[in-house]
Amino acid sequence: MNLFTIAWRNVGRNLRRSLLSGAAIAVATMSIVLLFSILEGMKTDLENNLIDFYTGEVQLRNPEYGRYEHLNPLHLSVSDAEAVRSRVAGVDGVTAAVARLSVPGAVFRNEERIGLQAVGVDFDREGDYSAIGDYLVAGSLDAVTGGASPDGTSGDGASSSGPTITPVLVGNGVLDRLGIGVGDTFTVVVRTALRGTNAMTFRAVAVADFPVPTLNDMAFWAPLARIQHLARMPGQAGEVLAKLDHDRGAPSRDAVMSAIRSAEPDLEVRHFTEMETTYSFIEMASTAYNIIGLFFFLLASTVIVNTTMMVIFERRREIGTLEAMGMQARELIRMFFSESLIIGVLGALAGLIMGVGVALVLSRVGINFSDAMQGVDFEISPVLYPIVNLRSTVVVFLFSVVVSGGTSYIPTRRITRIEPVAALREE
Amino acid sequence: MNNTRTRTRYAHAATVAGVTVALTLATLVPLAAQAQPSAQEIVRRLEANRTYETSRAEVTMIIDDRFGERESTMVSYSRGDDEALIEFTSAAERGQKVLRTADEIYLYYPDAAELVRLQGAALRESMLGSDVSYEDLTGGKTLLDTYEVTLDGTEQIDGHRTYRITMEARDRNVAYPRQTVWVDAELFVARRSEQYALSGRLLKTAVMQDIREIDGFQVPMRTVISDALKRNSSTTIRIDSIDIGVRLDDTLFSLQELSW
Amino acid sequence: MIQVTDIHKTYHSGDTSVYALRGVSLDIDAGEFVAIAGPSGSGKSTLLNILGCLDHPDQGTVSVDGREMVQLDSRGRADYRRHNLGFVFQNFNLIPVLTAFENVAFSLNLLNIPEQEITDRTMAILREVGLEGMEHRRPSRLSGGQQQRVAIARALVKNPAIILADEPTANLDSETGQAILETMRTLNERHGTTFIFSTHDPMVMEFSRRLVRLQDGRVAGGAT
Repeated sequence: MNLFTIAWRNVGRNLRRSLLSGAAIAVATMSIVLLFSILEGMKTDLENNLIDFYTGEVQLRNPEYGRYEHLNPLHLSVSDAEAVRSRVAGVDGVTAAVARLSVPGAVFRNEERIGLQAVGVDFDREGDYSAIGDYLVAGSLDAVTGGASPDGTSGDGASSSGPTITPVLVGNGVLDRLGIGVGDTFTVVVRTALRGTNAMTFRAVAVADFPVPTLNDMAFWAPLARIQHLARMPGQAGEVLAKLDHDRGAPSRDAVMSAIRSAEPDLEVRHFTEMETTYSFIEMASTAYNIIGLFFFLLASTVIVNTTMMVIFERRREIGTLEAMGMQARELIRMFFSESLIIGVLGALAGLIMGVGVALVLSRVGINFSDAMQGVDFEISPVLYPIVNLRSTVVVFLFSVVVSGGTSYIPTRRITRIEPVAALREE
Repeated sequence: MNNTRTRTRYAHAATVAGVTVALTLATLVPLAAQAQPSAQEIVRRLEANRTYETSRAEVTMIIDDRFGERESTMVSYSRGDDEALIEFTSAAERGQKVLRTADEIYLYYPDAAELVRLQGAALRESMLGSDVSYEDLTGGKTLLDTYEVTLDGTEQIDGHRTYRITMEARDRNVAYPRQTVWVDAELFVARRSEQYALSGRLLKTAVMQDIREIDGFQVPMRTVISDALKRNSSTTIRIDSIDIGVRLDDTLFSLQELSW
Repeated sequence: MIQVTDIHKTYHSGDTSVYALRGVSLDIDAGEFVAIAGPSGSGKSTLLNILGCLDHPDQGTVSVDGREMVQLDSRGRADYRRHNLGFVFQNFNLIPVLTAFENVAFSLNLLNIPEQEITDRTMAILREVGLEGMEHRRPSRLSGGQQQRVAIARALVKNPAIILADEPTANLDSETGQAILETMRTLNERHGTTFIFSTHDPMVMEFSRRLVRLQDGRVAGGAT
């Protein structure tokens, strides 16, 4: 008969109370496991969106651009974009590279000015890079890349040698905002790199459901050459984006970054983790969430602390008896501490199982944050899929056990203050 | 014996002097009345000076911002206060046209398959990224129709005496609810203007320089406009040549002119 | 073997002082079956606690086989109790989550005795107190008398020099109480363990071979 066995049996002595204590720890553990799973899902989603649609995994652009970024300085561009793209794609450790040109513009309809973002891309390469085809909900990429057609509409008097109408892929929300349907045209006015203006007419021949609402409402993808022409930027791009190889045996990130920088010394080369994006914000927030997790556990631990104090109080006579039998104070402490530790461990385990269970279910069905994200411009998809990360789950479990155990140790120290004579007198 | 003759001579001189003074006074009083016209009169003459029956001008617009200086050239036609057509001749905008009618602007771009029509709030778009908006080009109503005008006094601008006119819009639905214009007291052409928002915040400043008489009109050949909301930014409009009262084709200000 | 010399003990509660023992001196030989009797408040429980190294006197000495108890620190006292003393309480004070066997064996667990020896000795003592067959029952399934027998077995299983019993029959009916006393006397004769009772029960006083009366914290009269 060892102390641990006695402790184990004592847990069942007031089962309801033990369950309550354990439940507090279980709820805290479950909540934190879920929270971290959601965070992990958010980070992964954000990472994918940033890499595919915003910053790329590695971004190359004009070194002056960042300073004037808020002014959309198109003229601060990447010259000879295809050559740059090709060199970057050839670096060992780079799996794909694309050139893109993003130009803000507007459609004027009645009295309304409808802001859009024209994104010039190389559709042939985008298949490898962003798998844009996976997001199509109407039309086809062939219709986009089939080539711009001369406008045959007689209404505005164009001839076969007149201005071309460029077929494009639009975000799902763009059609609604413009009040048009698939196959309809719209004309976008932009500021050019020469700081003048220009306009071009496009036809929506394909529709994509981008993962980010802002992209859906604002973006349309057109062949790079057409946007270069629109913005008066022949051969230029706003940025070159690259994706890196993460397989085992692939060159390290630092090595690849170094190689790209050597290949393009005149350009600013950054990894997306070095940029000020929502991703870096969430990384910072992760630290905050760890602290929140700690407080959560401390809060839940107050239940165990209270229970332990009650247990010691209620069993003073038993403590006195055991002391009379010659048990040392530290042995008594160990026994009572074991009781609370058992409750803490079982509670944490239960919480872990529930948390992981719920997270696994949600990882399939997703959590819809659309309403919460109304009006918010993060590069995060409105439907998030939690990801259960084994390492962080184990950490949460250990965290839970350590905090609940640690806090419950404090009241057990009271045992040293119990005088056997006084304890034995208790009713 | 000589005392009588002397008295008569003095009387005569006094009479002559008195009549001269009276006549001078008589002339001066109406002149004084003419030297201070009413605010409405000043504005009417100001507008008369810049409303041409027809005109054709070659204009250079120089946009100066934090990235440097850029020039655009254009040929501008106008008829009355309502109609204008601008054809851009500089390389970056070649072929682009802007047609203004009373309340609308049409933009023609060779690369687009349809015209872009600007109405209402869209008229506040900046033209070519300059400090001039499309709305600045619109006309139609006279200043007196749109604003209550007050004469605040006179000021010297570049050594010229000017009337300072404050204008408060009758209707809030205008680009510039308040304006102040310094009108040259002799030439009745604006030397300076400031446009304000309803809150009193300064929006734009325009300074008119190199004023010349052309075909009977006082024309500022150089106007520098600054958008107070943009830092380090100004637009200079330089009239390289202007013909007023030229014969213009009737179809010039039609949508057909904007066809491909 | 036990020498108690002029012990005084006062309890303070706020402004009140209770003089529990006022110069008690007493000698108890090994193997004695002694009852310390007296009315409530006479100091008998206090004396028993001091003899049991659960409390220490304000003044005076207690020595067992020539060893001074008063000078021991709390760890020393705990150690002494573990090896040399057994207790039987009025309320039995068994550990509710342990079976009869486990309650008794617990005394030996504290002495780090090998498992097999624990089992053998425990079963032997349970047999001796007449509880063979009940070893797997928890206290809640034992009568008062049976629980007290378990307590006696627990106290005795480690072959202590002294067993201290504080009103052991107080919560038992007279028949059961008598049976318990008979058991204890038998064990005393068989093992030679010194039994010291505190009681105000006449039946217990009759069973004892020596009676020490306490009155107002002092010994009144001598041995019988």
